Amino acid sequence: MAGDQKAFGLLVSRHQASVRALARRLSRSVSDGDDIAQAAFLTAWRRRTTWRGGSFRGWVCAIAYREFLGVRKGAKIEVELDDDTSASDPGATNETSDRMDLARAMAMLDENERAAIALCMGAGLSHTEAALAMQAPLGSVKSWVLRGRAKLQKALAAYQSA
Amino acid sequence: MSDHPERSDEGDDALASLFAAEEAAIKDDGFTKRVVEQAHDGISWRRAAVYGAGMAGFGVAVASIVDMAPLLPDMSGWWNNLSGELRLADQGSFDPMMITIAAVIAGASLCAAVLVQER
Repeated sequence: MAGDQKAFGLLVSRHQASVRALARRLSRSVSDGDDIAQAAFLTAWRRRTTWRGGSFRGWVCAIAYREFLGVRKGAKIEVELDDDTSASDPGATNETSDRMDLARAMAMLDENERAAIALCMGAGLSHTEAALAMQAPLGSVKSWVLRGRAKLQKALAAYQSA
Repeated sequence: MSDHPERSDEGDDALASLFAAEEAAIKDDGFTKRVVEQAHDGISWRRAAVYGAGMAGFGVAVASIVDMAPLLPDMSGWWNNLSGELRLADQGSFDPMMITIAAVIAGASLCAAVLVQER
């Protein structure tokens, strides 16, 4: 059991950024996203005996998506774009600006497109894994990714030219 | 169309870079520690609940056997001796209603604990 906990800690440490990024993109909120990610890891820990192997990150991301749906169903999430502009060097400021642009562009997508993009392009799940996580047809997920990606590229290009 | 998201042009690479940069900017900041601590706390109380309810149920079951001693049939051999021993052990100190209520509570507690454990 102690070995399980140690291994679990290593897995959380390794994948926390991916899962938190996914949850933040889905919820469009840093604090709610972190809460969702935390709940997802705890659910994964409780259900560790049901893990069939394969990608741990994919498995936890699928759990995080379902946690997000549960939170969204239960209470309205306060949308807050990450406005952490405390970085002092110009390079960091540019990075922050890029992240703000990405967050704004993601906010323009509809729910399914945002989820499909966050799962496939953000968390690196395959279309099949995303379809399983979203409990949606594979063809729909592929369409959402294609449409979402086109919208993102268009929006980001517009931000950069402005 | 492949199963993996296609990243064939510069736009896709730029998007991938943005997602990667966003992820890289997320620092642990004690997140892992909090998750592991909560997982550990969850184990402690669930284990206490499950084993506590199990022990309570076992105790009630043993007490019930003692209480049922007068109802055991007379049989030959070792079973007869056991029945006699149980009769001797019965001091009439258990109220059957109390035992029934305790058994129901213990059983319900155990079921609830197992459900929570498996949730």
